Amino acid sequence: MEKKLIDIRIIYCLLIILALPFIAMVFFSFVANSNGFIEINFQGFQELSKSVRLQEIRAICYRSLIVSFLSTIIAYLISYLLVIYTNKKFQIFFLILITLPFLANEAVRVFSWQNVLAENGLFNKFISSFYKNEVTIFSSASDINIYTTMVITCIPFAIFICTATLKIIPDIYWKVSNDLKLHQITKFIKIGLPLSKTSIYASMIITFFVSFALSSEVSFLGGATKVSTRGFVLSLMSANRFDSIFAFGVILLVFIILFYLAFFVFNKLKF
Amino acid sequence: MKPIIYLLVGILGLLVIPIFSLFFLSFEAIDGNVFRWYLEILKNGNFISAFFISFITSLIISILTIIFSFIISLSYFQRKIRLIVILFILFMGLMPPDILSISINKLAQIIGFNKSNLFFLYFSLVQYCLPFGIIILWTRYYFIDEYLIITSQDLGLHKKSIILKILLPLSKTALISVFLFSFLLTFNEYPRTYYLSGSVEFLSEFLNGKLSSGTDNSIYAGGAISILITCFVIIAYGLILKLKSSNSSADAQ
Repeated sequence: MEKKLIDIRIIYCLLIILALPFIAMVFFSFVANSNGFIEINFQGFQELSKSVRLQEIRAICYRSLIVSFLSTIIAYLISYLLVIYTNKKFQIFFLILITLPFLANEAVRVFSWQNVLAENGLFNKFISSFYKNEVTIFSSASDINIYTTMVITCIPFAIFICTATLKIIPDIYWKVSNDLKLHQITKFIKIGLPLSKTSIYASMIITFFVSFALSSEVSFLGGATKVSTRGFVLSLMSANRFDSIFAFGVILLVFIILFYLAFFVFNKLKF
Repeated sequence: MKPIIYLLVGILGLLVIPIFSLFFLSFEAIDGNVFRWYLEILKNGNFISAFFISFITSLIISILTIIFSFIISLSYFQRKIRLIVILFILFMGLMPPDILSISINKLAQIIGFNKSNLFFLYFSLVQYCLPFGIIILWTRYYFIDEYLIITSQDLGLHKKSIILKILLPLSKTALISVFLFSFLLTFNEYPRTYYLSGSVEFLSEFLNGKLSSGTDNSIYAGGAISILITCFVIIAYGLILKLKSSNSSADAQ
């Protein structure tokens, strides 16, 4: 039974207002104002298809893919341990504290990590103190510090998604597996993983988009030569190619819609 | 059990403790005075004004987010519109803030605002906080027995009364969470303020600018203050949750 508590028109009205920037984005990616006349063109998309631009987009996508993959795996393992082996009180404590990195100020968070992971940072100094020679594990040349910081920023998002799914798995599954005296690893592979497939996919896609948008991590820890979404957008801005920025937004919008449709179809087939 | 808890505490420390590494630099003593950089940043007029602007903006945005997220979250009870709202949550949550801010800037220009206008910054910040607000409220609604609403409808209770007398009191803690979350998200937000605030300097902009240029250690004290405020709000949230759980267990007894 549908329980209509509010007039749909009010919600539609609010949604249309919220959609205005997206409508502007789509409109201005196709429409240009030349000499007072409005004309439809694809110059914004053509600019993005240039090899220099494509190379930059490819670098951002490649980094986001690796970050989303790593953060999902780590987050799922943490969530599994958290849900299966700890009590509710500890879970709440853990989940509240884990929000701190992504709720903290972006500049302060990244600068703190730079303080720890830079070439002359606390971590390298700490490791070097055990050896006669200077040891450099984290450096901007190897990108390892960028990846570490990005993964750590994305992990809380993935932990929330994975924990939520693991929490709604009926207790009976775990009780039966305990009664059958299944090995902990078998329990993880045969019960935990198959029942959390959706959340693993969802957290992979969401962390992909989150890491796609992370830019301060790259500029603080990687230097000016490393490409980030903000750097890419600013370079298009300085070239006065706003149509390309909007075209880039439209491409991402299409990907978000595809992700939504895929999940919608997947859930429809499942239930 | 215990080794796993130690492992999780270790992971938690690894993820959270480095955030506090700025404190290490902010307490660097000069002439034996460990609070020197704190005193210096608190005398900095730009820091204080940026702090107050961010604080007041965060309060306004939190209140606006509570109102709008509560209204939109009521779509939870209608499946079709709920699916549309989910799509909007994805749009608002996953689009890189840089691109979205430039689109809002363009929108402002179309409407006729060539100079920066705080209205559009507020719009952008509410848009940023809404997905979190709606998700928190929906999580609460998931645990409300749907028969409570069906029965009250059968008893002839008006829609407004169901919202005000049943749903609102039951969602009190969720609404407080929305307030605290939106406050922190706005207080610490950088990309949107960078593109849309114009000449008004917000705390995140101030900190980002000074940390990138690396002026003196007082900026570390400024960063440490912003982290401390974030921690206080998170602790407050934890206390509210604890208070609520002890109240409900007292009611059960």
